[in-house]
Amino acid sequence: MDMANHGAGLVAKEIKLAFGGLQVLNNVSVSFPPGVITGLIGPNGAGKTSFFNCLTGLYRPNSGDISLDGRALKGVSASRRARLGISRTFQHVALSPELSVAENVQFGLHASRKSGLADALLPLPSAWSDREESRHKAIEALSLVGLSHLADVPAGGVAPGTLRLVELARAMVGRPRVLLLDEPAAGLNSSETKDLVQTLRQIASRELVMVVVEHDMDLIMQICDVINVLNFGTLIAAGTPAEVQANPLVAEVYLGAADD
Amino acid sequence: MSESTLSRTAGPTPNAGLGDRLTRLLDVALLLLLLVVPWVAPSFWTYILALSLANAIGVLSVSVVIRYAGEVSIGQNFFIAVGAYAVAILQARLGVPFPVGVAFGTLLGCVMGLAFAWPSRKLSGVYLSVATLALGLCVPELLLHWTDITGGFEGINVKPNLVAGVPGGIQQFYVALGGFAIVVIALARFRHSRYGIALLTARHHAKAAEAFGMPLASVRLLVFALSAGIAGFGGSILAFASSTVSPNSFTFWSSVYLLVGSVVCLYSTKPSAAFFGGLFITLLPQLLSDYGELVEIIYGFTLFVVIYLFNIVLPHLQAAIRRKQARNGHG
Repeated sequence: MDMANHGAGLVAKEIKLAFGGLQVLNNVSVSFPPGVITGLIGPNGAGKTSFFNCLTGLYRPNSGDISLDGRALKGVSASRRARLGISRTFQHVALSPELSVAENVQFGLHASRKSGLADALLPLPSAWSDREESRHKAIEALSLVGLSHLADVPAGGVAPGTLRLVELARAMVGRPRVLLLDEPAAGLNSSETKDLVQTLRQIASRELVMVVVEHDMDLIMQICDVINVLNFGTLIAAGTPAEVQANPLVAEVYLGAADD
Repeated sequence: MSESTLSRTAGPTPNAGLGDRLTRLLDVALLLLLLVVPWVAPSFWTYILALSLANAIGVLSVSVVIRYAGEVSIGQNFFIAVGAYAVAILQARLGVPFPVGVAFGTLLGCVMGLAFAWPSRKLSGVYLSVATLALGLCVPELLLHWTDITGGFEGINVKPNLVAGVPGGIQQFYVALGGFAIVVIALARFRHSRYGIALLTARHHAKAAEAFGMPLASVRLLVFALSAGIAGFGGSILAFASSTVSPNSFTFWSSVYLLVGSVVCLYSTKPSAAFFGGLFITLLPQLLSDYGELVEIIYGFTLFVVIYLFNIVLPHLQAAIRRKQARNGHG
């Protein structure tokens, strides 16, 4: 790992988040360096998705700091963070059923596309080239997840498991700096999950910060270099898959519970 | 990732696109048919169809809000009045040519849309509808307040003097047809644009749209600027097509009628559907002019039938067909 060349990645320091009296995140500090696939695991309600929402700017933590390559993200909106290269998938698929599969993926390029309102309404040459280029990139991203043949199918007519992969394509299409994947294997069968592992390994790069929240322990252990474990909003363990597996506290609160 | 794994889980619907091709054919046939109307139809029908086309633009302005924001506006009469009075005042008071008036009316509509959307950008559902209602209710009062400029109850006449030597009725018809064509073409382009895609994502998943660079406030501003711009444009065309503007033409009820038009064409922004919506709300009052309040009753009944049919009856039928197909498939 060459952090000097590729920045510090995404760093969260002492994040606290509460909804009313419910403490969702309690002093969570985690670093997500580039070139490393980081897993974030924990039982249901551990605060994983809430933590994702803090990283992407959809939630504002009560206290704590988040920075990307040394740049503080406090007060930076979710939309601005998207422009800075933070991309994500959602725990519950968040695509538009009215759009085609390719158009849903094209939306992943929204923050980086330059065409304006005049291009949207008038037949200007710049608009054609922008549309062609974004469609071309969307088809490329769909090819990565094996779905280019569904490009023109309305998303409303596509199976839920497949839509997870469309979301993955949307998150990847803009070549993000940070890729946050919230349960990417939920709803996939074992064969599709195996393919997903291959795809994630394929897109991992020295520059990319990749974070995966997942309940599928096989997938997490296979692809992650580092795993962080959350329980009731508190970070209880961090380390390599082997270290986390050997941690008795993790076995007690999470892996042990899964065995029951 | 292998294509084979996924080809088992989903695939294109057979004959996908056939409906689209038929709709496009219908749209082209309609536009060709409309092109010859002034040469084959009596002047009364040319006039009615010109008004229908202008109203269809108003219907489209309502459909844009419903389709792209999932919200209902019942204050469109405000933006339509802005466009209509812009053309009328500029022509009658300053002698400004119609095309300049249209451009100004459209721009002013956009600006008014933004001015409305900014304070109400965090409203949604019934609260937003009530805010648009407030906007719609104030139009006649405003027009009657500035009588010197607006002409009061009698309003202002708009001369169809775009092309010298061409009969006014023909000018009015082709201006309405041209205006309608411009709007439907622009909306067809908009649907596949970066912003059309963003709005349709935001409509279903506001948080996802925000996470990819389209916050809800921008959605509201864009939808209302677009809708109000179309309404302003439609108002300008309506003023030209009907030769007159007066407060009675822009009451709150005209917004309700536009909503009726939008519902009967299923909020579609496709040419044939929007034209049907405009025709429905223009022709019905003409055909039933001797029966007074029967028009409102028919409007109400039609709304109920369309809503009931497309939200309850058809989904039930589709579900029943799917269940039957599933049973046959397993059998």
